[in-house]
Amino acid sequence: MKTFPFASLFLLLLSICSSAQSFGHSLLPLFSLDPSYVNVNHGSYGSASKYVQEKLREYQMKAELNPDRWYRIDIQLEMNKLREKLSAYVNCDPDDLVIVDNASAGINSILKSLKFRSNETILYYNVAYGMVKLTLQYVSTEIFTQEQIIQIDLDHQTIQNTELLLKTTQDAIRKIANVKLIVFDHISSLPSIRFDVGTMIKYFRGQGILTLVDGAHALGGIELDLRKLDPDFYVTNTHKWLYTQRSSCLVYVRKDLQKLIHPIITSFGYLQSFQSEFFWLGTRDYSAYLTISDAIDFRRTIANESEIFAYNHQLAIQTGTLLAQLWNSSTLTTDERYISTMNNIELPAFINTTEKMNNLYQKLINEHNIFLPMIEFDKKFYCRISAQIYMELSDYEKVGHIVLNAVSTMKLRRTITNMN
Amino acid sequence: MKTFPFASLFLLLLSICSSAQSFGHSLLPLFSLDPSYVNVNHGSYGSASKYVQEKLREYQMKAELNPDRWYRIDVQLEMNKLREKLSAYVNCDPDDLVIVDNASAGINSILKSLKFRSNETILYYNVAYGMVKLTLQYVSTEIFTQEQIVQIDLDHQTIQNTELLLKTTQDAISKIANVKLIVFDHISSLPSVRFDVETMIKYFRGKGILTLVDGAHALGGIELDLKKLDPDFYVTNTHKWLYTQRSSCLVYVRKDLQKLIHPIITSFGYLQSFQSEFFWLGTRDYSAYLTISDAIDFRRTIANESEIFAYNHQLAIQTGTLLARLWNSSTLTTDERYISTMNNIELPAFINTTEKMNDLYQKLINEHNIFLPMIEFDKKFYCRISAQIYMELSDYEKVGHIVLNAVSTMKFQRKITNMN
Repeated sequence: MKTFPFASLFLLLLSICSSAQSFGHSLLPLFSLDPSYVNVNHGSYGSASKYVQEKLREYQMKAELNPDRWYRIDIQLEMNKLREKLSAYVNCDPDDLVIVDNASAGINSILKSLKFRSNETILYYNVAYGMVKLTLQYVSTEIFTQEQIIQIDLDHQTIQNTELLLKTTQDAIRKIANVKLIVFDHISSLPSIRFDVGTMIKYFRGQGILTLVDGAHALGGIELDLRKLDPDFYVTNTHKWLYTQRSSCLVYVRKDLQKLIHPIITSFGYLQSFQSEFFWLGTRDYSAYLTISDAIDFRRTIANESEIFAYNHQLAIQTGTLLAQLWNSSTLTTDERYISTMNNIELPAFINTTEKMNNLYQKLINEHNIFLPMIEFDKKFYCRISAQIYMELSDYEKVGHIVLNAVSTMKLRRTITNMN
Repeated sequence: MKTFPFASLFLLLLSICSSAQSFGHSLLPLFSLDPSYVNVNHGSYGSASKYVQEKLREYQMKAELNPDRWYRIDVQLEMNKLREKLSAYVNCDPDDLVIVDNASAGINSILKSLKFRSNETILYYNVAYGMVKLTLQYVSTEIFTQEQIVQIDLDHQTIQNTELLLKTTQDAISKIANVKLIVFDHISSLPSVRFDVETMIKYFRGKGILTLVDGAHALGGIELDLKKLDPDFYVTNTHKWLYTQRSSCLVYVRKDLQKLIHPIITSFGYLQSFQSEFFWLGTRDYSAYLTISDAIDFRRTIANESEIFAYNHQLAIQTGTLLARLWNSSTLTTDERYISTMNNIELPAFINTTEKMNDLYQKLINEHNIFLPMIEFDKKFYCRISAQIYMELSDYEKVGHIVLNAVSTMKFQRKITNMN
């Protein structure tokens, strides 16, 4: 019993009818979001287009029709085709990328493969994603002494100034012996800042330091040219901004380093080749991986890549300006080079403690079905919004007012509490 | 656009109409196998019932409707409910089991967590699954010297006699210092033999040796009572014999050992608790895991567990007898205690080299769309068949004749080649 491919048909009509695809609410039918849910947080978990979901079923059905043929023969061919397509999209050699489940799997594969001597150091920044810090902690506890993992603190100034960031980093490097690896974001999570990784990679390579770039939010959100960036290791989720089925992640490893890197699961490819090692990690559903190809196709029916990047970039910037105005606060940065498809806006002044921030976060979820990630950074309290092709400025304006009302309610309750 | 739940309706009708559910071809409509594919190899990749596939969609749809709510709130509750249900099915404490992607992930988590000193040894058997051997090799190369992984060779006699197996093992243990862990199958893969793990676990515990049981084929195929077996570590796939969506795997760890075991991905639960560490391994699609619950429900509409076990067990035994007669050969064992839901039959006498075995394997795939795993064990060449509730003896008889014909053709081709 095959589902009628409504989504594919709709998509076809859409692309026939409008060559210059408009963004915004008109694209909502292409996704499966609950109409009552205003998703200002696309960046956390992404969304798969309906077209991709149909393709997912097709792959799963092939696997069910003849599991042996699918797993013993077809899968390898399909994954090879996928790598060809994806490597063209990110401009790298197809043999230099592998697919894993998510950025956590990617980061763990790299950090747990590299052998460090006791006097060698890994550097990372304070804005690194929680999972990255915890994995570094695990690695330092299991492999060598804790002092060998060093955190560099960025502040409001250095986070949006590459020259100052590198100067701060250099100050740290000078004090430490044998820095072997530095881990940094392409687009950090919370707060969300876009870093000039091209410059940073060149700088660290000049120092003989390996670079592991956490690009979880990059693919599909901003231009990604791996040949141009030339990192040593690069990890980026496909399900965050590319509209694939959850979950999958691209891991790029420079050719001369591939012999050092093993997947977290050892299986039949062990000792054969980088590709073989990462291809088979036990029986799994490859279908989500294969939708990467379909997601790329899907995007092309909407617009070309730079149009998609531009819409989300502009919407993130405009939203930042709007909310800062509405809340009488500021965005973390106004420098558009440091903004990707997300933006950080200082919460209304009343939110000046972690407790109040957490209360507001919960209140918005429980009373308004709004999920708005928040973070304290350099003594200020920010929220993070995600732009998306199915979103419009009015969505964020609505949320902006809801936040103001929620804060007012909190103020009133405090006043009453203080009076009693 | 919701798919009409045909499978659920059919299932309901089926369970209403026949209280004593008949097995065999009448159950084929409940699965999605290509009608032209005779699946004598269910054990490799399993099959998800259509009912489970519908439930999979429902979970995926929930995730798409509101990804934040699903991932930040709902998934934890759903996974807790799942563990309650699954732990009742295998008779263990819900907090002593976690779910991972597959047996490879489970085995890797345990072997890569345990810290071995250089003079400590891990024992394993020659019939261990390839992935297990390779992971042991990886661990011994990365952590300590290679001599610390020792293989014990079983033969035709010792593989089907627990007393002799333990004697052979004891001979090895006597010669080696500090055996810390032994890895062994509940039901081996190739050849497929069911081991008396309860006796083996007791024996090794008496020696102070930790037991890691690879039960990949156990869950849903044979009775599994973890409280009764009382292993230190137990790993079993759910998608092989329980009819869940691919892929997921139960990992059981004895309470007092949980603090030693970490998942292969370090993430937010690190250092909090065993359950927390394994729950969140980055954003992933939990839907396949959740179908474990639905697969258990599905089975109950067919028959009770012992009826399902019995049908597959008997079919495997009868198939062994039938093919041995047809091919004028033997099964690896006739002792029903060492047979699970799979059986190993010696291939026709002409197949007496690895080359011929591989040729036959390919020929069956290419010319007959039959996937029949084969192995050389103790100087004989066997194939492995899997029973299943949607299979009948006639299926295997058909395949048995096809094998004979294929062998005849190979004989004939060789004659011609030899004549030229």
